[in-house]
Amino acid sequence: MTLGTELLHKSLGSGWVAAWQGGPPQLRTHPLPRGGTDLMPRRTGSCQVVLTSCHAYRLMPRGTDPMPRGTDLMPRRTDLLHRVCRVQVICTLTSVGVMKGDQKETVLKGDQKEMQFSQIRDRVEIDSETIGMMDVSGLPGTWINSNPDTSGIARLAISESNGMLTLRAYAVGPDGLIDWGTTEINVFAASPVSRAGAGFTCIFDFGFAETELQAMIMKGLLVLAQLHRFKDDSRRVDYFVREYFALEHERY
Amino acid sequence: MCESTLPWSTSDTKPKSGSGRFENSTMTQNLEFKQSRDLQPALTDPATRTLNADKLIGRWVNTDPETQGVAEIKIEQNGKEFLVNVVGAGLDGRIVWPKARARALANLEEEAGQRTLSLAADFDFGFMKAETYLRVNKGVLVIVLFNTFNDDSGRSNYLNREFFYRKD
Repeated sequence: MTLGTELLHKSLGSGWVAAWQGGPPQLRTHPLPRGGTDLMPRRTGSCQVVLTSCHAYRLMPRGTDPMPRGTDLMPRRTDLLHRVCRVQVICTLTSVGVMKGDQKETVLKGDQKEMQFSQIRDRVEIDSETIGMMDVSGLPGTWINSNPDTSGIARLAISESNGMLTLRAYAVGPDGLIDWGTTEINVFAASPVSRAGAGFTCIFDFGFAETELQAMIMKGLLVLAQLHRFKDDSRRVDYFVREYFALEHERY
Repeated sequence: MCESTLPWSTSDTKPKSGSGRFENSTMTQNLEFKQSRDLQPALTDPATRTLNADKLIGRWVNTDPETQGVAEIKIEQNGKEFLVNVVGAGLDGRIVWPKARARALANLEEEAGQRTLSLAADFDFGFMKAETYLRVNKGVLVIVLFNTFNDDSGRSNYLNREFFYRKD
């Protein structure tokens, strides 16, 4: 738990929930409260929340949807160019459960450092208003293998729930489809500055074998790389397969 | 490849109903599976274990001279071990990535019926991790990268694909 998250937990009342404006990838790398997570009981009154990074989030009274005005604490116009900064947010909780936001942003000079990169493509300017956001609307649905004679994965069902994307796979077996069950997926964009999901990775661990799926969407097709690793003593070699999947739709 | 020499075949096998386990009467061996492909005879074919890696080994240069990503890849083999050396395009020169040990995977269903090796390699930079797989298709090395940032910089995790031609 980061310092910011810890302070957030301690500072908010039980009548509040936090909804992070990010998708699963951000949640994986930053252990922050997920959408709808209840926060620890706390008195009302003034509080100070210090975030150790600039990840966007929202606070809202429980049972409130959509979020009322004045409760959006998303840091704005924070200087993220080539540096990691801190954002300090001063907010007030009132007895009637409405947050009156008094936002204040502070860049702490001591915490500034150069953005690291391993290739020029990674050196980018970040729009702080979109940090943590990821449009994953292109992923949910049922994806069908383009090869009707496949002996592998026949169908993928991707669904979104509480801000999390999950994938259920069905593979061809000797007696029909085999349900692999459900696993969470990590969404990837097409560039460091893009906020649109363009692919994903996930892992199925079956005990005797592990299958890693790495997918990218190209021209409407899901190109799925499958890396299979056997962990049993069957002496089967690990293998790689690449197949194409189309999103099922009702248009035609 | 001669499939008649395989230690087991699918012709005399029968599935246990609904068990996800395949019983082979001649070998009295149970094979667990999650898809029919897990049972393909080629996976136990000795020839598959010795797939020629020559198509992968060597120095590869990005087909795009203006790339802002991976400029060059060198793949080495030392016995059963594969090492992948990557050089990224930098502002003032090239950025040498930490050398990565690669996992070899049989690629039995490549386009045009090719049977080759593919590699999976992970690069850990601390602030970022790159999971990659590499394959050769018709003489072109293709690398697909899934990059995950760990540095709170606000950058999106992203994927990328690049193509290389053999330099030597």
